[in-house]
Amino acid sequence: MTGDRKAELSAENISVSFAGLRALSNVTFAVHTGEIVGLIGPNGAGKTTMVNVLTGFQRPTDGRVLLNGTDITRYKADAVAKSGVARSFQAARMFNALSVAENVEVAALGHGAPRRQARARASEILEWIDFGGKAESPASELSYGDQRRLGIARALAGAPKFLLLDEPASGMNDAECDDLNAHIAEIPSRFNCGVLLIEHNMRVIMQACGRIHVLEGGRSLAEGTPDDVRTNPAVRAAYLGADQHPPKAT
Amino acid sequence: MANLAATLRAAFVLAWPVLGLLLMMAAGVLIVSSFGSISLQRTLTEGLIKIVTVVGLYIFIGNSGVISFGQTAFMAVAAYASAWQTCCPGLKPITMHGLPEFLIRNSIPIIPAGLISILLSALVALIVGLVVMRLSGLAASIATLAVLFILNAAYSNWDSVTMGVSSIVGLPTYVTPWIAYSMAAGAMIVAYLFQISRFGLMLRATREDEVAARSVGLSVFWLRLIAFVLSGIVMGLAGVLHAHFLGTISIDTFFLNLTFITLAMLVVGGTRSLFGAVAGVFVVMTVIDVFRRVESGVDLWSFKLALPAGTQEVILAMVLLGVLIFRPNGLTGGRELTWPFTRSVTRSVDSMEKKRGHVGGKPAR
Amino acid sequence: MLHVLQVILDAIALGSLYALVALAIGLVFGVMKLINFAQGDYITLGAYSLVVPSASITPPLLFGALPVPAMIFSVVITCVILALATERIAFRPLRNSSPATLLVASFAVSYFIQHVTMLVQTGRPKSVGIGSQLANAVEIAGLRMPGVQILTMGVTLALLIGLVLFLKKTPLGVQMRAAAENFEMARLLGIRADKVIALAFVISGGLAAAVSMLLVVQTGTLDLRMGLMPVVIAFFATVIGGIGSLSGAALGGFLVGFVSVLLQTYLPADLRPSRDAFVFGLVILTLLVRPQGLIVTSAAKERV
Ligand SMILES: Nc1ncnc2c1ncn2[C@@H]1O[C@H](COP(=O)(O)OP(=O)(O)OP(=O)(O)O)[C@@H](O)[C@H]1O
Ligand SMILES: [Mg+2]
Repeated sequence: MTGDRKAELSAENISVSFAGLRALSNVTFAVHTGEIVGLIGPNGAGKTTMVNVLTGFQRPTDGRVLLNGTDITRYKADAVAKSGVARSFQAARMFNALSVAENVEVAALGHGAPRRQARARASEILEWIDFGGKAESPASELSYGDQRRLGIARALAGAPKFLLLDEPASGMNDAECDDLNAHIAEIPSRFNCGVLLIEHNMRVIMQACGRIHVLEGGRSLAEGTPDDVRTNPAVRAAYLGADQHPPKAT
Repeated sequence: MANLAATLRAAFVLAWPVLGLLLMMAAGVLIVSSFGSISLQRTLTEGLIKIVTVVGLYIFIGNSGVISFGQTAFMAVAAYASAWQTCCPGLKPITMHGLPEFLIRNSIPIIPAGLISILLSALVALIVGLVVMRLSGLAASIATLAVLFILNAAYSNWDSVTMGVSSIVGLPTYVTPWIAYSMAAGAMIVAYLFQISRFGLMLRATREDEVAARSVGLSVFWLRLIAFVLSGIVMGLAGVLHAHFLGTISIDTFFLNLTFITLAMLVVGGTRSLFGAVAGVFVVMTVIDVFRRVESGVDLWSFKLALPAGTQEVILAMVLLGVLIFRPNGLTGGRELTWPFTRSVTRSVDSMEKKRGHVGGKPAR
Repeated sequence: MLHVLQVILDAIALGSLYALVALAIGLVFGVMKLINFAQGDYITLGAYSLVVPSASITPPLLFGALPVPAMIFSVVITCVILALATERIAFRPLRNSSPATLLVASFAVSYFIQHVTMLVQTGRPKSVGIGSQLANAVEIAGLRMPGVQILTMGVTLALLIGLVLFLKKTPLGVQMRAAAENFEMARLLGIRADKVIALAFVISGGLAAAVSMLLVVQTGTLDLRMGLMPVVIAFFATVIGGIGSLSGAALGGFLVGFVSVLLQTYLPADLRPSRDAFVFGLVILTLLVRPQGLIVTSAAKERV
């Protein structure tokens, strides 16, 4: 946590509709450098759509996305990435024919790093996320859990100010989850950025996040500390109503 | 000292995928040009020019995963440009009176003429690319087909400059096996350098997953455009060589047939490696040549076997389909030639891809 | 004034012909992401089935000698069998491949059919006299129109309307359309892939048969490349219309046909031979303005 504490990625009154279906209605929230914000909600709540809006993959029907006060709503996805907002995907989306190291290197290249620097950056990040030994193997040979971790490594390669993670723990066992948790917790200070974390696994969410924003049916339902959210009756109702596991205590 | 040796060794291993191919090809050229019959030598030269062509295709298609049907159009552009500059001084005022005054009156030496022609095809590729590369993969493929048809229709009817659908005859023929070889070597080196460059790596990332590529700041448009223009340059070179090997050009030789054959070569060998491009030319040329000979009649012991004209094409189509179905990554499986005496991991696309069927891009679903 | 009307009727006739071919391409694309080059060869082979296979340039008639209903039936069956055979042999094994692979495969199938036909029939154009009496002009309300033109317009419009009704009103057609516009969703809803894909090929074979007979009646010749132009134009039509949209394909086909006739009529005489270059140039320009095509379907956009 250094200098610009004020760096902020914010969504203002975002609405998205797909041919009549309101995927998001008037959602507002923000992430700051140095914090981990959780974004939760039942299936179909609009979480992924929100990440798509924030990263330029989806034009909102209404509302603005601001990065440190600059309106980036109409930026193309690659331009958003270049201005410091990185993401991972709900499906792994590796560059399959490329090696693990190349997957990360190419992301650094995408942000304009020279070749040598991109390689160094890749091995540094892979080292951090315990991929050292697998750097040369092709991405498609990784296990599903490893692919998710590679997704995070790749997103970090461009030294983003904000990192949006879409269900990084899906398909991981408990041990892998804990390990992932530890790494995610380190990201804000180590990489000097803010994290938006989408997760169904409440263990991960409750441990990692200082603040949680709850979506349901495209609307903001609640926002607050993990304890606030856990005890919020509306949230409990939403989860029970949607036949999901209610957020349980950790 | 040991450090220097290690660096040299690393450089050698890095260069081997192209160096190894060039050495093998050189051996082949040496043997054929010293002992081969005239007709075999011609086949060899033709094959080397095809390597230039297919390597040109590979630069764009292999790295981007987008099929282009339009690259043969750039060959035609350069071939005609070279003809305008070097061909038939006596006839030009009559048959190509629509050319600029300067070209009608003068001929340009073959080397500058070739360079200018290649420049022109690069320029055309740039203009086409600026429009077409904005489209999504499949739409871009169809648009390149439109480009091929546009050029064909335009040149077929631009009588005062291209002599319409008639052949332009009498271009200086200067392409020997060794000239063709050095040009093929040049094309392969360019392709390989591009492939291992930052742009090549970034473009291959867009091929693997366009969405993920954009999420890390890669601009699909610019990366494809760079490869498209570079491919246009190499296609231009192929066009010039083609023209000055045969000594005659006509617009219909740069149309669907050539597009099909060269694309088949690339796919049969494997779109994803330089080795694939070169191997594909070799395999398909061999098939074509064998059947071409059989079509014109061979003596088998006591009777004469002659297959009807057209067998060659039917076989080629079957080979291509067979490869697509049974070996979707081509005969080389997307591998490069690797230096055999090192412990470094050999990787193949085949082993990497659990899913099947990749001429380019990822599976539909 | 009358002249303008005639041009417009011409344009409608050609436009609906291309719309038919584009719909065939669009249906098959929808269900298996295949842009089918071989559609043109279904047309060519359908036309060649009218005559006895031989090297002669004025061959005796085969299906062409049958009474009209039997002739139509036989040609349709020929094209449908051919379409299904290509699906079974070449495209089914590649069903999970990338669209680029399928595109190359269909290029190969097309090349194969074309050269097998050439082996049997030689590459020289042949002449067939079928429906030559239709060449006589018919006068309707002061408009003199060749019978062929009226036939083309009647048949294509009837088929177009029939196909639209089939796709919109019958349960099978609705399934087909659902599958063509969003195959994944359709599968989730329990529509059987094999059935729908086979149906798409049956329809594309049937449409090819109709187009082949119309072309023969119009030109009186058989040519190995006769299916090429319609199918290439249909490709462009599907792209202009918006890849993945059936109404887009039909609209695109119609527009391209319409514009070709207008250009043919109103271009200065010395540019007229290059008409196709202008038509295709317009295709590219349209894409420049609307890279996604005229009608953008949600299925065409990849979900992130
Ligand atoms: N491209 C699209 N076209 C049409 N509808 C869409 C599209 N993307 C999302 N939707 C719809 O918008 C709604 C919100 O989807 P979204 O993927 O954002 O949910 P989510 O909260 O990420 O759910 P999950 O937990 O399952 O990932 C869903 O009903 C979904 O079907
Ligand atoms: Mg989601």
